[in-house]
Amino acid sequence: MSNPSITGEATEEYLATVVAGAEAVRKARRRTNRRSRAPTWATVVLLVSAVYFLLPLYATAVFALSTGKHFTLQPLFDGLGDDGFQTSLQLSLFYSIVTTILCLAVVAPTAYLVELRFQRLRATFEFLTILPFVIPPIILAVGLSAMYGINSPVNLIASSWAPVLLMGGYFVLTVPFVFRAIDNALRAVDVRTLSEASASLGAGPTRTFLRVIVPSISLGLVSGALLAFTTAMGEFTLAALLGYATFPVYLLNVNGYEPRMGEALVLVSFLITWAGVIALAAVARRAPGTQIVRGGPM
Amino acid sequence: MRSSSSGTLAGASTAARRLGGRAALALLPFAVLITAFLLVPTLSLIWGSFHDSKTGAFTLTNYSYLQHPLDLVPFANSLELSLASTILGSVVGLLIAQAIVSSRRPLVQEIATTFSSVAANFAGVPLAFAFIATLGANGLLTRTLLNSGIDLYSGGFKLYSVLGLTIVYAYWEIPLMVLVMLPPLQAMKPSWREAAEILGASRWRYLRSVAIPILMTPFISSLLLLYANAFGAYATAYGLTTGFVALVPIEISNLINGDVSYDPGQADALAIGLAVIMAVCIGGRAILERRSTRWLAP
Repeated sequence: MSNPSITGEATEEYLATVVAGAEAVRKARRRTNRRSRAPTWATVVLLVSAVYFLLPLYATAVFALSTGKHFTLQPLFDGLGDDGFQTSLQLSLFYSIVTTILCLAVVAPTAYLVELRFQRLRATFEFLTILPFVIPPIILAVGLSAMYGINSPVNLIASSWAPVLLMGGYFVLTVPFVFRAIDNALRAVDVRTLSEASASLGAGPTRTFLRVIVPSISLGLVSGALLAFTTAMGEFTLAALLGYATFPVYLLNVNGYEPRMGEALVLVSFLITWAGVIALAAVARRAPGTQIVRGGPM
Repeated sequence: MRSSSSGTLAGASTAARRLGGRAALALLPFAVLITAFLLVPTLSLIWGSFHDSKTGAFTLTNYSYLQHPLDLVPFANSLELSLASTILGSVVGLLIAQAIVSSRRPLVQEIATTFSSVAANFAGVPLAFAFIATLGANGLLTRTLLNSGIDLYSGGFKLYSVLGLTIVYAYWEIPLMVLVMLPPLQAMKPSWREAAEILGASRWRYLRSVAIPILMTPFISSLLLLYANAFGAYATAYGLTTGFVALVPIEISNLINGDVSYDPGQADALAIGLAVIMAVCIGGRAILERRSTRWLAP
């Protein structure tokens, strides 16, 4: 029955016809049966996984805010009013804001120039995206402490340059995500034509960058900023190993001697993560392709 | 008309030329930061791994852990933990991702994606304490199970064991798998299945001949991602155990921060071992991604 001389090309053509036919049937079916229901197994899987993911948060809230008999917000107020919490949060905010500004100010012009003029360097910059995996924070911490630690001739940790060390470390940790966010935005607009049009109207390169390029990649800059900020806010490894008392480091210490207040502050930390991701998701809705999860071991 | 267009071209090329010298200069801040806080520390780490930390003489003893079975225990534990959490994370994550796709509700998809992003970012010290409140010796779930006659802790369970850590790591491994596998699963067209049905294929035959071959590459690639993520993770493990578990990242931190076990040279050598494992995973992933199937191309 089947033609023995049928060629691979004909088979492929035949398959394409079948797929097209199935597509047509499907469209017709969708028109008649508009509301298809979710299969039971999918609902069950989603409900069970919701329980798994919410349980630790619920248990944290119970541990922190329940005395066994009644509900109280006192540990949360204690935590928020605690001097150690406020100092460590201020330190975290300081490093996160400075890292974000530094990262945007350095990466945005660099990414623009790579796109416009230094395409040859692209491969080198693509390597950045795998950096968090090859050099995760624990390895970067060892490297930084070997080079700038107490036993090094270039002892930054015990000098007034100490803040620069952590900022530099956070720059390296966040640069892959920020570069990717800005680079995606740059590739979505025609950088070359925009720059040449701007130059032909008499604008210098700096003016072109600030007045033409920056406004057209603003969503990429916002998502890069959010990624840098949330990464630095939650960063524990570098801060702990190099000796900076940031919020996550304080969170670990306070749980050792004041567990209820500590668990209340875990809720605060969760809210910070939540706010960052919600903001990123809002940006992603307007600019598809925005990366929400930074990935890489922490 | 003609004169204005040639004027534009002349203007553009002058602008590009004018950019030339200054452009290279504008890359300088990026180059300086990466050199100071990534390249130099990495080189110093490599140098340190081949030199005695006290005398500064060349030595290979820092790498002696490769010869002694006892010194390889952290590697064995990290390997076991990463393998277990990768298997758990990938199986459950794939199931949830398929459930999200099958639910066919845009709202469910949006909530599930956002929540996966939050959970995938919620790692480190806060996650550790959320699980202590859940499955610790005094945790909510532990006490609830005890009341219904199941004594986890007398049954040999410990949250800070490899098994306990696997459950905790799954909290971010599962949502990471969901986020990585959602795009390829969404790219699977229902008409492919219908075409297979029209050609007389059974459900199993469809899976074997269509779905599995197409999804194999992204699946293996995400296994490598999950594995590397678990292997290099430090903050969560440290938050749970305060350093009393023999994993590679914990061992490294004990060697640069510990009072008794202080030995930066050995920390450098262990860090190199860790980097090699991470590079193998991520290199494998890069090779797989290069041969991504044409069916999944957008």
